[in-house]
Amino acid sequence: MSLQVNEVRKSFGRTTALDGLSLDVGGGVTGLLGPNGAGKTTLLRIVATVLAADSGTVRVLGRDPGDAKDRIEIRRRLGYLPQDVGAYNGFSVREFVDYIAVLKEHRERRARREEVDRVLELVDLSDQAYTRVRSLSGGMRRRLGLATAFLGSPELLVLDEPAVGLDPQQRLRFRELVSNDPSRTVLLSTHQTDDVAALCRDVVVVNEGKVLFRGSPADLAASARGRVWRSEVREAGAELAWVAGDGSTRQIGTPPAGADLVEPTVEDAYLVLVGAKALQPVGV
Amino acid sequence: MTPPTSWHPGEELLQSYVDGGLPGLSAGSVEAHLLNCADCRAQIGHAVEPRRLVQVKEALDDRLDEIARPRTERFLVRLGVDECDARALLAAPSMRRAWWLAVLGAAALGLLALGNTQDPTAVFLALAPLVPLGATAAAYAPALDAAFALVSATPYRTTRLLLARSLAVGTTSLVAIALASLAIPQQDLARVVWLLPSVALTLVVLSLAPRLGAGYAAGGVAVGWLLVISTLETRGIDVDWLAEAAAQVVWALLAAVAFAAVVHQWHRIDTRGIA
Repeated sequence: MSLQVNEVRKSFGRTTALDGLSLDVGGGVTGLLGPNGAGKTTLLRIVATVLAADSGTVRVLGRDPGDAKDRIEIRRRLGYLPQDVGAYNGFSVREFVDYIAVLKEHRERRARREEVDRVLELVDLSDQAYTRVRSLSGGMRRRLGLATAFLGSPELLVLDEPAVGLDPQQRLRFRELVSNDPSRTVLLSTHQTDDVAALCRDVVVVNEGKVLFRGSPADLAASARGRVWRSEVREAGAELAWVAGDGSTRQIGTPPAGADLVEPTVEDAYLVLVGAKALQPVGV
Repeated sequence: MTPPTSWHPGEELLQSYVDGGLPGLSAGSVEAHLLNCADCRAQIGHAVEPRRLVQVKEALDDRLDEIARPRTERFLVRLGVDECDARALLAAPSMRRAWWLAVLGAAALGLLALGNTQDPTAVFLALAPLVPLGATAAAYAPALDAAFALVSATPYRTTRLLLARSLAVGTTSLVAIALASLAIPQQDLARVVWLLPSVALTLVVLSLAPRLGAGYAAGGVAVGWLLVISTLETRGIDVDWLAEAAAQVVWALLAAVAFAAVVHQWHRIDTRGIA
């Protein structure tokens, strides 16, 4: 297993972000789904060695992030995309990636230049190499962050909402990028259930610092069978309902007898699991 | 548009140019011609070995990289600082702000001392420790470095980065205050006695910062220091007590204890991350 998280707890003041969460992650792409404040970012920060758990055990690539030497070794084999990259506005795209490459121990200047060129090409930012960060769109900034995560072709990628702001073409490119090496472990958080369905071998639904579901996207979708139906108007058993493109009302909850059940999607199943919390504004 | 030219270097001359065998003046002449003659450029394009093209491009990129590096970085490298350390130390915009804080804070201190005709020494001694304390906290503060989350997941040790940043700005600050102390009219001990309290209080801030955050640590220590000074002042004890040998010994001891706490706390950063 590339990642082993066992009974991990983490609090910030009185707020519990992770509440005894356990999770094993092997090769391939694993997606974390959950509402805002579910604990996804905290979990990713712990896995990326940026933050330590209050209790519980964590092993990343077989090493203990609580040991100073292991921590450095993990970071050598890790690519991390934080929720906010925080790239310096006054830097050019190339300068910023080069700066992170320096910190990632790409010491030899020419080899570093080639590596920077390679990752900029990967995320389709070669033409913006000399553009100032302040001039980049949100999607370009996300790709800049992705470029830094891909430096050194790491074994483990920890990506916090990597697809935010990407246009459909870039999202496809992103899916290609993260899935083209089956030996690599990718743990990503997202709100995009279609990315999970298209990309992830495993999906983990997290809420209130706990794992609610762990399995394949198909299993997640199947878990909602019999809970999703459509009708002309909202019915009493519906916990969530919305008018679909065809004019019918798609509903999630406890269907009435004889309801027109439909095959659930990953998004339906996620909503069944998380319920009305999925609709709450940003919380923790 | 290419201007017409009647003269063209022959094949042999072009080959010598490509091989780097022409003396400076002749090479310059051929080069000037090539800039204006697409036909000759096309001709030498086939004559140049691809390997040499790569070498030339790499040398050019090296030169451009060298020019693009900030002067301060080049200066540090010339002083013997590792190139990567120099980059790590200087790149963050938050460092520039901390340096400005150190320099402007010291300048303001000098002006305040100069403008206070009643007791410039007292003003200087009371406020001097606040400058390195504040500037060092600004250099240390992860919250002020927008890319800190990304940076702290790289193998470059967080403690090394924060220590280097704090040390660089702290030292700059102390030098700037030493220069500002020249504004004190009297030639007395005030020009040196600020040093140990400044170092000690800055180290106290750094020892508290990993747990409290740099802002709270610096604010708390600064307020504490000003409270002590004003309390003593109201009891008739002048800030000149700092110049006494016993006080200096106490500050030295506090600095030593705070340094030990910094080492202990910063080991924690290496294993548990940062607040």
